Amino acid sequence: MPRISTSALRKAYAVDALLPRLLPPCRDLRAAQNELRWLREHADHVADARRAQGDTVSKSALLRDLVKQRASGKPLQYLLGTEFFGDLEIRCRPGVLIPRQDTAASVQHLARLVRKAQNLPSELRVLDLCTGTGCIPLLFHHELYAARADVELRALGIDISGKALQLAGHNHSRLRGDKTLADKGSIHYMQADVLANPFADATRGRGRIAVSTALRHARLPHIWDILISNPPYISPSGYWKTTTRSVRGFEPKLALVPPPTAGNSGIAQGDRFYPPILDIASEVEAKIVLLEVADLGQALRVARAAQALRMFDGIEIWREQPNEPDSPSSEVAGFRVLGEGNARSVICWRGTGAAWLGKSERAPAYEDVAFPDVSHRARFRTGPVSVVHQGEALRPYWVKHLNEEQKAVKHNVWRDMETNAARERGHSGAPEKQELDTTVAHAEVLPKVPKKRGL
Amino acid sequence: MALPPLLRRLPMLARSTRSFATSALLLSKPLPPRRVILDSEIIEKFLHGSGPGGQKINKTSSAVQLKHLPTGIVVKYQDTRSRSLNRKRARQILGEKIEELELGENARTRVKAREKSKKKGSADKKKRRKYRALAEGKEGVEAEEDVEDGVGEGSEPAAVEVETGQSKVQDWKSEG
Repeated sequence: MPRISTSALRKAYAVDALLPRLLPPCRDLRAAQNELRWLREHADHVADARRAQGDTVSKSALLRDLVKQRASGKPLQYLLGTEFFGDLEIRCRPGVLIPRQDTAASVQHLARLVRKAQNLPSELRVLDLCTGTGCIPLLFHHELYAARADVELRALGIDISGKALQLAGHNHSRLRGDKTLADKGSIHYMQADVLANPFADATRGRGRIAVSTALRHARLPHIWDILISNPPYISPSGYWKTTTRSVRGFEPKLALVPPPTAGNSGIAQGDRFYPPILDIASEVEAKIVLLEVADLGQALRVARAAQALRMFDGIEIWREQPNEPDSPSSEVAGFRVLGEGNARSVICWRGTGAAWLGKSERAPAYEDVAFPDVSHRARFRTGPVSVVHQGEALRPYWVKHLNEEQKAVKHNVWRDMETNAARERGHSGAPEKQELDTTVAHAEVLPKVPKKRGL
Repeated sequence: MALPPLLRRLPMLARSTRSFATSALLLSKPLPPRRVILDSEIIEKFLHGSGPGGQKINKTSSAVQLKHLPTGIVVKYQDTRSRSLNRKRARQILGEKIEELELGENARTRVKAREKSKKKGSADKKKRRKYRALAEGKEGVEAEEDVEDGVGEGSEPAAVEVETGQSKVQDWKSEG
């Protein structure tokens, strides 16, 4: 990174004596001026609050301290304690990733598409994996209820970090308290590990409870309509080369780089979260899946992996600004890419999800081919959607509706993943067998479901 | 100027109903309606430079730049940390600029500025008058003290009237 020129420093000093210190983290005089103004407002606010309690604080000393911390690279959001995520002011604390504006743009766009849909179920369920500050369920809630009142939203944020969950709960109660969030719907947060294998022995690793297991323990539904996730997606080399100093030095690595596994390094490690998330998406029968990615390369890798599962009716890539009314769309490697800027998220949909996104024109062509004998998929087609969740009590969550052919495809794609997991456990093949057994055991239950509902 | 029937009735409505916000009614001329900017007329850009985004950097700038295609006016706004607030404010400013271009002296901002300068002008006039009167009053008081020796108590108004220039003070008093 180039050194700040002396003339720029002098120019900054002429404006304010504290400004030169802010130039290195901001790189730009105008940005530094803005940050100094925000820091000053914050210092005034804090000093007033402390004086009201009888403390004696000097505003200038407080400001100087804040500027010093900022100059060391500490993110402004940690210093001020909040960050704006869409219309919401979300509280941030060290140890939890600061919400990014790109994420807000994708989530906002998705929520605005979904809230326009005619055939939403009476209870819309949104699952957010790796929720961090809990910002995604909160923003989705805010955007949905800004235009709809007839839908009951049930949102669940899942994270592995207890610190994050505590902050998410705090954010939720704070926004409910000041009436920013409508007094409707429900938002909950729960601890679980997205990477944990649901078939592994849960007692072996501490705090390694798989998402499906956690859902079952908490007696939460195992069918979710929309799955959103902003998982750690930076590869170890990308972490050292492409992240900025303030991210590396102050934000939790847990939220940025997936944990390493044997034989899984470089790019593959950066992509490590997507296969298990797509597996969870198929388990919870998500109709829409929104996954944040780092760049176009990763977007294409994730899109191809999702395509190989043969589970979705459509896959699209959204750039940083997908919400432009006439945003340019292009085609890259067979996937439609929407919006402007860097590629930021991959969106997949199936069944009624297409109609919720306003993409009903595409006929679910492969459904009849790939799922000839699975009649319960009929409920994903058109018709009154309020019946969508009725059958779930009859069907255990682990019953996979994939036929053998698909299973082969899936295991080809995630072979690495499976072998690594097996290597970790020390015995191979066992979980697959278990999975097949359960499918057989509950096979007779399946065909009855649609008949009972009279579809 | 021919107003649409609904607008013509507005002053009556304002008179018949109790209004708590009086500032709008004090304007001598009604403001023109706000300019509506269609989304198709503008290009909106969020300036964040090139390079990686997402989790890799945490931006503090949420600058918004609007370009109005028919007129070519560009507005950049980055004063708040919230992008949605910046967008809102940028649209307001753009609307005002377009209006100034289209309506000239009749634009909202110009009308308001004129009203403000008029008010300031009259306030200045008042202020000048007050200080002049005070200055003269001081002289008057000194003069009064001289007079008071001669005239009995309780005849102050008369004493005031006696002095030349005191009528101005009275004007000011009755006004205030």
